[in-house]
Amino acid sequence: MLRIKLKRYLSQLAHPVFAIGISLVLGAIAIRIVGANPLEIYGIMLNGAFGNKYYILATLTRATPIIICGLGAAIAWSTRYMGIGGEGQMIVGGFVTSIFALYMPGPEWLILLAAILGSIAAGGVYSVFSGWLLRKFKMSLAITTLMLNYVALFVTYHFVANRFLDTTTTEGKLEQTKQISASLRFPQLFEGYPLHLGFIIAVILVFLLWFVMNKTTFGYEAKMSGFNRSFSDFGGINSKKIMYSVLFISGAICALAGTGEVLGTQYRYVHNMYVSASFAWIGLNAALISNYNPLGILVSSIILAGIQTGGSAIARSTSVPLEISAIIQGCITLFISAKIIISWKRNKKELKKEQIMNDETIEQNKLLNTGTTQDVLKRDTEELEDEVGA
Amino acid sequence: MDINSMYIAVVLNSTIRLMTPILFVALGSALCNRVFIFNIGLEGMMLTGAFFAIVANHYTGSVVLSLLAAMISSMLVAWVAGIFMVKFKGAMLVVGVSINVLMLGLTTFLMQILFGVKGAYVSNDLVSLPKVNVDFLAGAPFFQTLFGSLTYLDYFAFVVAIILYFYLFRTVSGFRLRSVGLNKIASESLGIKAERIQIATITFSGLLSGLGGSLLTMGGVTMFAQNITSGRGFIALAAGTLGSAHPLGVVLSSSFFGLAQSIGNTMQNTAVSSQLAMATPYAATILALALYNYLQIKRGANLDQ
Repeated sequence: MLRIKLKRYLSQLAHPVFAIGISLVLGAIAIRIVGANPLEIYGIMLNGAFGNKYYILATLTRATPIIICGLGAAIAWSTRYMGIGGEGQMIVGGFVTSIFALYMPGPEWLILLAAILGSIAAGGVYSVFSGWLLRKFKMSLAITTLMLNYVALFVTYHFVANRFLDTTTTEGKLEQTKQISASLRFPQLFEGYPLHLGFIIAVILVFLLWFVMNKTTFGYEAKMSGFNRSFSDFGGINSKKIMYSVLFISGAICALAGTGEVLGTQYRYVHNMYVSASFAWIGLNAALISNYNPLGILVSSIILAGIQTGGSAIARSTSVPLEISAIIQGCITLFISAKIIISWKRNKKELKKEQIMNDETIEQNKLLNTGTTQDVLKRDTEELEDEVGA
Repeated sequence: MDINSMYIAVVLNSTIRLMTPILFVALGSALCNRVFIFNIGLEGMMLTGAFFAIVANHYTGSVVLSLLAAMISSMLVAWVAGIFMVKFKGAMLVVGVSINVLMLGLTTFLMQILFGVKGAYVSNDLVSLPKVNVDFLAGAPFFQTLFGSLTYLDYFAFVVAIILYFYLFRTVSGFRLRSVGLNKIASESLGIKAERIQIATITFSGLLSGLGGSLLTMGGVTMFAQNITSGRGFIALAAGTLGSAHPLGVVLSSSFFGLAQSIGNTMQNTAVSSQLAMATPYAATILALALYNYLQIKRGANLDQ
């Protein structure tokens, strides 16, 4: 039993590992074209991502919004509501947070609470709007969320540039709000290092989402609804309610990622701050790599963030451009998407062998004659659940 | 000729110039829709074409070679995307998103290596697409403005739309293509090689995106900037859907987006906030799609995916 389970987990891991491996090879070719030594460059990259305490903490800081966005994308995508609105939701959330933090009077705890709840509400409602468009007008979620990203970007740009512009600083011509007061900022986890409270929130969210998706009725219903919409409707699951809840949660989580960046790293809303860093896209990539598994998102987000911080380290010290990390990332998701790769390796013979083995276990269970049906049933349900989860 | 009609001519002219890059890509998107492919990677393919047009331009200084480079490069990218979507059964959104991330990275990467610049590459040595001479319209200033400073490629976009219309609805091969989108299994049972048609269609949509991209970098301005497409591929995707994947419908929907952008641009010179003006085409897309789908649903069409 345990062996089968372990094997299953390992075979789940094999695909991402293979994808990352082949992407690194392709990245090496790109590096070679520039005329640098791939091993040396990857060495610098690894060092720049995880080489010392500062680099590790910088990578974790960068991973924070990616983890949160990945979770937001995962809950929607695993229910097969495949929106790409994470960016817009982050923008809305971050913007609302900064406005509350800057202009709301009252005690600090109340301001902070309002800023976070406001962000959650704004991101959630904004995300539900695209769901409403889907339900009412049958508009593809992918298209509406994409368009809404730009609407959110430019509408907040309008407010930042014309209403809330920081006119005190003379540095450059950045379109940004004023800085929020120091008492409202997320505390740093280590004195003098960038890592902030947002990372703890991200980790809590990971476990929270894992619990909700795997241990609650809601999570089960959502999974079922994603698995087969009409079947779950038939089974009495209210797919309309599920859709709106899932989209609200997804939007709210992504909005929190925006909040974290405002309160934790930038201390203000800067136009384009999320788009240029493409947190939401990378978060989506992290969700895809880990097959929507929250714990997997935590790990893959840190890896992806490492590729980015490592990429900046390369760009600082060598002639290889920063975009090498985008190339590697793009390749990883591209290869992750391909379902064939895994069945490639497992030829028919092996599959057959496995089938015979499974049959044998069933036979053995039958022969043992104690708790036979339960065992077989239990195994089958477990298998089914794993498939549903996948 | 009074001021007002000249103003209209200017707006219409800029509408045409803004719509044709979208039109090329939207036609590709429409074709993909016809074979049941949702190709979000068009953005990345358009960017590819835009970039390699400038690369070939930089090294050869030939318009024809630049266009060829744009078409071939984006076709290659589209072919890879097609293989992953159809042969490897990758989820279309995932493949598309990866293509977009990858090509944004790769074009910026190569721009730094080949041209040694960050952000944007401009040079006086670059040639732009030849413009159609409209001096013979000098007697009619309205039309002279309307058709002024358009390249041959701008006109070609409309020609492609008409050709595709005849191809899709008047030829056997076009009928086969549509049958794949209507019912892949049924069409396969009739001996149509559905997967091959799907991959070929995606590849061809790449070619069209390449042309659209080269219009961006060699049409009105001659330069390449990082992420110069900035969501035009996505708008084209919406245009393809809005035009109900019909080539002539796509011409209409693309002109709508061109007009929205053109009005947005003219609004930037007025009291209206330029940032809100930039949001107009995207908001208009949502409104137009909602209205279109609402009318479809009212007519009793089943839009469930």
